[in-house]
Amino acid sequence: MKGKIFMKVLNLLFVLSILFILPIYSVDQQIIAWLERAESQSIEEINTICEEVLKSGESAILKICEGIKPYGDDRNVKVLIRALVNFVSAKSKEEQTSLSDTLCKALKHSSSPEVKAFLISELQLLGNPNSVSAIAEYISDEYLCEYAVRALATIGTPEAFSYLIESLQTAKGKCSQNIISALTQSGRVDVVSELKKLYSTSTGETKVLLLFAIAKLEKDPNSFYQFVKGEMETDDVNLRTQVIGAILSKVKDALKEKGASPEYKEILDDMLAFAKTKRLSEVECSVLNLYSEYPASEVFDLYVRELDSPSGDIRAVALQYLTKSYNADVKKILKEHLYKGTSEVKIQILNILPKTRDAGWFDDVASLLNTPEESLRSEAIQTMVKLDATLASKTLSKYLLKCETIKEIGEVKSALLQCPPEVVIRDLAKVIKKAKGDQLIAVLQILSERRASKYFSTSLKLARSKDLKVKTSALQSLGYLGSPQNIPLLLNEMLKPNNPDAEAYKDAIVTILKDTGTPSDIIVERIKASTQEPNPLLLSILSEVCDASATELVENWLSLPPDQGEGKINLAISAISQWKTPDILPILIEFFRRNPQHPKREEIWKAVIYCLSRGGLENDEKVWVCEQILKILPDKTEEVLKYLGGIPTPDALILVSRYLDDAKTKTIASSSLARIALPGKTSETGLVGKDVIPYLLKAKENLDDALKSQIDEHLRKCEKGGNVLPIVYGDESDFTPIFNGKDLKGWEGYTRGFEVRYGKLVCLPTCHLNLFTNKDYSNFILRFEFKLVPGANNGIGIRVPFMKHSAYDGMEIQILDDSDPSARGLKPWQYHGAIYGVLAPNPKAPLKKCGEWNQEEIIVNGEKIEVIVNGVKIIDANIKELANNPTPDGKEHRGLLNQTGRIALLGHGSKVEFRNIRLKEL
Amino acid sequence: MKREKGKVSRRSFLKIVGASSVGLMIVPRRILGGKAYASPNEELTRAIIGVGGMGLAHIEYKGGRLLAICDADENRLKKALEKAGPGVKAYKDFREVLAREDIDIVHIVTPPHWHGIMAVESAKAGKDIWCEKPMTRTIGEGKKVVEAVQRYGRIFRINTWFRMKDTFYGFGTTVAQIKKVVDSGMLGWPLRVNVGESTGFTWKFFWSGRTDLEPQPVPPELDYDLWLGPAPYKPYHPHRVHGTFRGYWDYDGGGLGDMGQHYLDPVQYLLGKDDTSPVEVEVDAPPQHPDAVSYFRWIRLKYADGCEIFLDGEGRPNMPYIEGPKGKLYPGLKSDIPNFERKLASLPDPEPLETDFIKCVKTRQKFPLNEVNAHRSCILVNLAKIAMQLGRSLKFDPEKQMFIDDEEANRLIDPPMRAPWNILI
Repeated sequence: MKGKIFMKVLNLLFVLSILFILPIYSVDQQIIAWLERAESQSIEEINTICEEVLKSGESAILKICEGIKPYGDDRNVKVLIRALVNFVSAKSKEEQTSLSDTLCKALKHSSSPEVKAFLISELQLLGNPNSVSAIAEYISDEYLCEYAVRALATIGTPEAFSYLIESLQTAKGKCSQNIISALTQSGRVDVVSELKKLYSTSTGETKVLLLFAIAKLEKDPNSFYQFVKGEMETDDVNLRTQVIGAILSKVKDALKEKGASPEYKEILDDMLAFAKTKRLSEVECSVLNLYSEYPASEVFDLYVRELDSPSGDIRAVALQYLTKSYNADVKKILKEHLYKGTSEVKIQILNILPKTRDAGWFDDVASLLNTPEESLRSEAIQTMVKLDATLASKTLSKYLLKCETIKEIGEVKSALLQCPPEVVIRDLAKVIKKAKGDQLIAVLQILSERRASKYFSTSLKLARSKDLKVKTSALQSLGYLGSPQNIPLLLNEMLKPNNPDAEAYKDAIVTILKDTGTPSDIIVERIKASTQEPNPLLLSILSEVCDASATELVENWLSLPPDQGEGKINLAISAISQWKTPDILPILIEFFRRNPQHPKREEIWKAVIYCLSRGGLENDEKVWVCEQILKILPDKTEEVLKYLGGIPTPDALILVSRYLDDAKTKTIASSSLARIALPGKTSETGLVGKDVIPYLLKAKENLDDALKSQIDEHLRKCEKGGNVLPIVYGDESDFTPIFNGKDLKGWEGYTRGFEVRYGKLVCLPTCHLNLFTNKDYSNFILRFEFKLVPGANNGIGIRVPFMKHSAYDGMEIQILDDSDPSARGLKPWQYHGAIYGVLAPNPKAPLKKCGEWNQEEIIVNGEKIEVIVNGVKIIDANIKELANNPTPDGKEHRGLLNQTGRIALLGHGSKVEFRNIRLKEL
Repeated sequence: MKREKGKVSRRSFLKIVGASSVGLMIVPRRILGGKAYASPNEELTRAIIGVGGMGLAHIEYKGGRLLAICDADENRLKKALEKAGPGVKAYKDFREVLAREDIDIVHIVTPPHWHGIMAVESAKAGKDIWCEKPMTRTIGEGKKVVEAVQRYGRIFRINTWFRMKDTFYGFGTTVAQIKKVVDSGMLGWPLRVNVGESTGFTWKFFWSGRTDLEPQPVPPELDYDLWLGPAPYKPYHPHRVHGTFRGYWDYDGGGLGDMGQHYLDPVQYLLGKDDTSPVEVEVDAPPQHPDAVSYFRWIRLKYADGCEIFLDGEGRPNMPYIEGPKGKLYPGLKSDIPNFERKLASLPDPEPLETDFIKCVKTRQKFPLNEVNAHRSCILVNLAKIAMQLGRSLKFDPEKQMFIDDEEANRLIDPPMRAPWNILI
């Protein structure tokens, strides 16, 4: 027995120690850990911390609050406290009260006013009624009163306001001003008489604040008006503005609450008279706006009278009212003013006419085109389009012939471009014959903009005009007005001997070809047919269009035997030397592969450099080009290595590193490697990763001291980083590529949705269908790399019957940018790497940033399946077991137990790139 | 400086804080009697409040004669005065500027925490207003500006212009061309607009606040109390004011505040949302410090019809600017729609928008970017800021301009100001 009691006591002591001693000891450690995590990057993480903190109770929170400093860095403490306030604000009232109570305690304990100010601000945001008394302690504190009063006004409970009212009498200076401001929001009528008393003895800012408060709290507009109207005569313009504002505000509120009573109208009448004597147009505007609450029978005439006001803003208010109540009477009045008013009035009326939605105004407005006033005509032109765009096209196209200044011609042109295109094209038929100079140029520009092809021949005639301006603009229009069938004609013009406008005709042909997506066959034929050396302009067209036909011709010429086809080879070289896109590069590489020692190699090499330097290629594409050149043109190694130094990617680093050992290349390779890895012009951070270290160390040996210290600095950063380079697999000699990097050999299905470029298999963003291998695979290790755009979606079909639905008739291993916000709300079995609908990855795939390459490995062997992404295994399962259980998506996955089938790439309407797809059968 | 006895009380009302240390002559304002001072040849007259970096640029804006400049920092006033040339008077207190009867247009070029008060007071004083972006620091102040401008019949603009003119960032063309594409329905509906680095818009996260500030003495040339105005009193540090104020929630909202309205106003226009606001805002950002702004990863603003604006803070590559169910539009006005150029050519142009504010002032017509649609586009900025500060998704009622079922968020819509500052319309 004794032993048992002893044990019980021991147990009790133990329990007590856990309850009291351990927590007290561990709280500080815990707090440090929380604070370190507080600046965590993810919302989930901060919510977890908040939950932990709140569970730990008051003492922990108070302890955290002790860390608030008056100044100096307490960043994490404040971040954490704000996070707690945010966290409980989305939770129950009890939880809010509990945190609020704790913060009130912290408020009491703290000694620095800055810390108190911070806590009161947080309590203000939390807005809990329980915190009122603790905050009210500071109403009369010189430094804290503003914080306390704002918090109380925000919490806004009756208790909060009773504290404020209590302090009104005793408060001084800023404290008193803050309280008056706060009372303005209270809605407490009982303080009005108190405030009025204070008003009579106050001056300056306090007086204005009291005015605001009384205006807000006084119920009856009339008694307020009587109370302050004397002040309207004050010398103090600012005070006068505030008094008038307060009266108008009061009347406005009353009109809204109680409707348009004659009593308030009297005040408004008074104010209007006052505004007129003092010429305060803004006050007049405000009064007029308030009159609109009264029935039209009472105020309509007033607004009509104000149309004659000398002040534009008053007229605008009157017009606004009249437009809102638009009817036959209003129309009559507006018409009178449109004809007899000053030009300012006319312009103002023109501006509001479209709002009447009355196309009947069109002729009246059109008649204004005869006025000598330019600004008025300009308004009329714009108003006509808004009233009736079809009619406007007819009238304005004729009017164009009367326009003399470039400015007005421009205005008419911009108006015509807003009219329905087919109507304008029709209306300009008559005009183009009579138009001269700038008018004609404007017509040609409009027609070009609209691609009005029926005017092609007219424009062709004008292209021979003697007026240089007209001629230039007609030549420019040819490309837009022309259609593919006009090209022979344009070619003839271009090829006429000594034609000074040949370039312009060339530009027109290029524009037509590109604008209509027409293949350049006709040009190619013309070149082939020419017996002599073809006109350089023909070649120049090909260089600018760069389509398949153009490329094919150049490719054919390049492959002619050097001794027979020198002329054509030279032509090809001159064409590719000005090629507009870099996509001729794969052809040039293929050329070098076949003819590494071609006599023209240096000229063609220059074209390669030109293409590489002109942009338009992605980094991995540049690296691919370099890799090919390094293989086939050893004498260009140095140049290529130097170029690679400007590409800050892991790919480039790995490629360059292969040249670190060779005595001939090691210096240049080292300096390029350093440029790739270190921060510089092309990358702000450089490549920071543990796996970069050995490469940098090796490069460092070959570099000078200045670079060495930079490398050392970078190495220190690398030590703290993870890995950034691709994983190196062991011997892959038993793997076979299933994509050859050149074409879609070995694949079938929807080949149109996929494109091969620079060694990559690209699923186009327009592709929603699938690409299949042309043979079945049962058990295998599939390795590949892929690159995503934000929100990208694709999939790998495994053991799928040809042309069947991968996810259900086989298995789909999901490919998806699941970090994208559009992926929010997806089920875990839809994340990247999931067996779609069947099994969620665990952990989530560690995908690289969009635009960087990922490595993936899918192993299927009998019943076993594994998915490994960037070296992390995220799926490791038995297919049979999966098939025996209900699937999480609740759908039937008939193909789960397939023994064999195709491998498929599943287009889901986003661009996804693949490369190095290889496989080992098991 | 001769003072008449009768003016003393008025002076104390205006309360030029630290006036004794002011070396500049503070000109007595024109007294009484309405618009006695007619501008010659109808030339409009202007005043600029706030003459820091942007304010200096406003000096050169054309279309009116500059009469007054105003700043709480004497050194800045001196510098601006040199640039402004003769005939321009310097003020420390903007209320003195507003009291001048001879000024037509007021440029508000202060930090955003002042915009609401100054715009409303300018409207009440009968001035037309050219206000810097972002329009107001809070949604509540924005509502009041709208009401004041309309009640007093004023003409108002925000100093961003992309919906009307100029090449729109990476597009090589004006917003009008993009509007044409959107309105044609070519892209389908609803649309998602991506505003991030790859579409040509950087969020300038270098506008971050510091959290290690030790109080410093206020330099004699600066009236710090006046500079703070309605903002809570916090000990002075040079990083809080002038070139770096955007890093503090009390005055602005970092890069969002700086660039938000520039980038997003055209989007509201493109989507035809000028009279409404998103119904939901989602955010992914690190937890924010209560005082200092940091960055966001992304923010998504969603409208009732499914359109959304995605603010990308992480430089996602290759995003289209606008994407819809039928096609995508990329910077440079490129599209994946076949035959895009010719399709574009067959569309009428949208109505051109007036670009001349002075003309609008003279003819009293609303500027295309006015108090109403500018308030709406500024709401985007303020929604994003509030979501960032609270670190959670919020639902918004565009009609009432309040958050739905979120009291904490609603407390940030119109928080009380530090006395004596307050807005009564």
